[in-house]
Amino acid sequence: MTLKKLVCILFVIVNLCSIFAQKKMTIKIASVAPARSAWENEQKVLASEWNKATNGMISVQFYNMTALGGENGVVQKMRSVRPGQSSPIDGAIFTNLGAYELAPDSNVLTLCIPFLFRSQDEVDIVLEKMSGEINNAIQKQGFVLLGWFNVGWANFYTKTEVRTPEQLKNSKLSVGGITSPALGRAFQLAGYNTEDVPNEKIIQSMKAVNGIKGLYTIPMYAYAAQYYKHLPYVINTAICPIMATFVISEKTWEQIPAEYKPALLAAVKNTESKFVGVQQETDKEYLDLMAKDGLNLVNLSPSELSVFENSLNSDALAMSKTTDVTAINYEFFLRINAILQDYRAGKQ
Amino acid sequence: MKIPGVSVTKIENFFSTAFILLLAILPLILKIISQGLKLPIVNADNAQVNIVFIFACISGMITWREDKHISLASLTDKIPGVLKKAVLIIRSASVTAILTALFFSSFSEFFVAFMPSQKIWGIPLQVVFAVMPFSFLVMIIRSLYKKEQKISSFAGLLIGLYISLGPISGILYYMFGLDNLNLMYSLTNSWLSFSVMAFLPLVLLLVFLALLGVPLFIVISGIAYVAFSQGGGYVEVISLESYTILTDKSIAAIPLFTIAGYILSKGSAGYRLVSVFKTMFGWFKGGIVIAAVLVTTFFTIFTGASGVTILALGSLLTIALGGAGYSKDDSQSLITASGALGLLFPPSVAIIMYGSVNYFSVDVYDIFKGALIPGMMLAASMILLGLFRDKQEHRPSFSLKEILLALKDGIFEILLPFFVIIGFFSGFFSLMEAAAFTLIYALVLETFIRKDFDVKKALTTIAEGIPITGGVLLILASARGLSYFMVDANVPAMLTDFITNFVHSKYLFLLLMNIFLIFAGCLMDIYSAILIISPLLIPIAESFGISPVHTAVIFLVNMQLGFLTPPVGMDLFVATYAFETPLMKIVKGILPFLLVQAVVLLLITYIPWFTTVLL
Repeated sequence: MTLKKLVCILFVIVNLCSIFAQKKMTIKIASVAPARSAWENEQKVLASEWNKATNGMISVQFYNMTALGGENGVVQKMRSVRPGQSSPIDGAIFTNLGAYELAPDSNVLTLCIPFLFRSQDEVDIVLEKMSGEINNAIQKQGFVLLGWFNVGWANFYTKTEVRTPEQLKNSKLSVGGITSPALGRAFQLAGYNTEDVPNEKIIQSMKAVNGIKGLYTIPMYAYAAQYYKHLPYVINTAICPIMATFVISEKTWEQIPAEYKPALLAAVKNTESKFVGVQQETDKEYLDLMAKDGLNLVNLSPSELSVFENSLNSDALAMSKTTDVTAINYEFFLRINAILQDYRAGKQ
Repeated sequence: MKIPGVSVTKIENFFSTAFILLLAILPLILKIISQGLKLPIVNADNAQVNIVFIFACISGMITWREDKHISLASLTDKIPGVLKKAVLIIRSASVTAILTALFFSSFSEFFVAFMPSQKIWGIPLQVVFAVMPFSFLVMIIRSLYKKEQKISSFAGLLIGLYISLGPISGILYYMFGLDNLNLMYSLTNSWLSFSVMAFLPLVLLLVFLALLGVPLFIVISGIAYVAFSQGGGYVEVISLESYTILTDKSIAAIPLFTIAGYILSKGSAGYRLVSVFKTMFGWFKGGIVIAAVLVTTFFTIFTGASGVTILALGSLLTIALGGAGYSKDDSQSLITASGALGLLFPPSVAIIMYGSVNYFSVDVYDIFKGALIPGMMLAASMILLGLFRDKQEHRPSFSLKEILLALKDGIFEILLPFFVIIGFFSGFFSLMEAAAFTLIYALVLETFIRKDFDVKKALTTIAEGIPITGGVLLILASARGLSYFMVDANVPAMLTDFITNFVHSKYLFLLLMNIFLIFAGCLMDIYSAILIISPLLIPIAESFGISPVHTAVIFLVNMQLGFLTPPVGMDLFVATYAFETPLMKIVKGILPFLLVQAVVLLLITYIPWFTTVLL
């Protein structure tokens, strides 16, 4: 074999390899799902469906959000792009906090105002009417919103029994839960005493004499992270939905051939519906498990509940007046409220 | 470096001293306002950690100015003249090249890390972040300013410019909207392709540079830079990770404890403490060793970061051990070796985090119980080794009168650790508040009560201690970049895949797991390791019939051992600064302790009874 032939063969092999390599694509997604939870399992199923739907072209690699610097840290990494250079992370499954950090104009934190919603139906009605606006805000930042996973409804967990908004305001709270200070700032402006505590240090803070005395989170997190052992009271009324937002960078989404996209979106929709289906069951299951293990359920009377609702709704105005970045958008809040009032009037 | 009419040195010293004093006073003022007066202060925590970040950058510059960044320079001290000149040329060129790369990558990140609307107390976070590229720029200018090796430094600058073309194109895009710099993109791609092809030789070259005396933070950052270049080119992430670690609340305590320790060691606190410990523990063999191991262990249980313990208590305990007749080298080794033991005792933050991350696999209370005996075995082994090395023949006899006299003379010094420990353990102080209190207490004690310094001398002493903090903080920042690369490149998953596919014996698996975890403990911070590696390991270990509690304990013992394992165990670097002792000397001193801990690790690994008997 002459040297020329050898070079030609090598050239062909290298080119074939590079064509083959171009076909494979690994998408890096950061996620807030706890390890080995039902939520993480659903993510794995979604990854496998994407892989199948693209005939093995796409592999999704999930990363632990906290290890990448928390939601705020991941947002910084996703924004870190320049011409000819992709970002270190292609997409993420955020809570409302991360989605807000990614696109403040999406106003998704306004959906976290306690006692704004009373049921999943109300959430669905509002999302149906507002999701276009939220999508646009996310798109403006160079990302595509692929879906919402409703991962549960949050409750307030406290060190002592709480029945009034004043009692809550007198306790030091961690309302962010994950390293994102915007919501904490908003609560402070409404008279709450909050502290920014990174996720990995929340239990340490709960144990400290001057540490946090309450937080609101979904039952699965409260159970998994053992928050209830240190905050043994829970207001037994779901106060707001926690939605995981699945976003991906526009650049990455554009690299996926168009023929695969409908199947990928269908797989996300399928996961969405599974989440809605199991969410209410898991919330109840985890609350029951915690109650069996000593968690005290504080059942508010209708009048106590009404005081909470009114107080937190009027606090929304104060919350919207943050000095730098507005976490709560009052105008957005009023529009949601109007939709809900119409819906509730229609039901009656 | 001189600017006409201005002393840059004085400016740097002024700002760094002002920032450290601000860091000491601010947490206590905020505590009084928020808890005493019940007035909430928006963004107080964020403001404090960002001040720490600015301080870290300025102190890093000062450490550079003073040439006190940690290195393995002692290895090249004895080489002959001509060869030494060559070494200096290579060293200066590589240092300038890597600093240039770090400057441009952090400058490029400056534009995207924060949005202009993100502010703390009215100050845009972009302005805070800008201090990082600025500090690298000052270091580059200082390198170029040196009369010797000017040519090699300029050559390094050119190499640095070439490998930074990606970030430079980013800067041009963010500043001027230029997005058609095709030649620049091609050259960037040529560097990225080269870094892929020559990844291993480049890493080996950087390790070789460490042996030539290049500061370790430069070497670690250089390895991270090459790693990210070959892994996709997003080198800007290194500066972002440095910002993340330097704005961590635990890290914020490091400069405060360090400077407090420095002030106490320069004043009369040392001999007063020696008198107390000598009279109290010097009369019987081992008393002081037991006290030292227990104190370091307890402190780490709550701080979670063993480096903090060495910095906060290292100098005082060394003095105390010395007073009881223990040699300086042995004292430093004992404290360094015991610095991470607290990770294994309840309610260690590391165990809580392990339990939270893996709640669906293992109960945190089971880990507490499972780690108790292994933790006690390690602590006992350190005490026994300490006793064995106590060669003192003549001991003073016990005298209550002498003890009381010594206590009277050193009462304020003795009370300090009690105040800190009680304040912190009771929850009255956060870690940062405890550190701030320690610095103010030390300053007031040495200046106004003991009158060891006047105010001017006290401020000069603070300025003298700042290069120590700069060195520690920059090493931590650079290590975080490398740690993130491990996460990004999915290295833990690849290694666990390898184990799953090729290892079929339980005993071989346990051995490989130990090697892998020690390696990970050297390169990753403990929290990243828990988050990334532990969820991958547990199911594999379960498939070999190893209980999740046993896996957790093996994991944590390895992590604490990783802190001490040369060449990159973080506690070794911290000890180098805390004791002002060359790295190689610390490494040499620690080896017997390391060996004993490794034996205990093997016992814990292969005899599950130690972890399961209390379950």
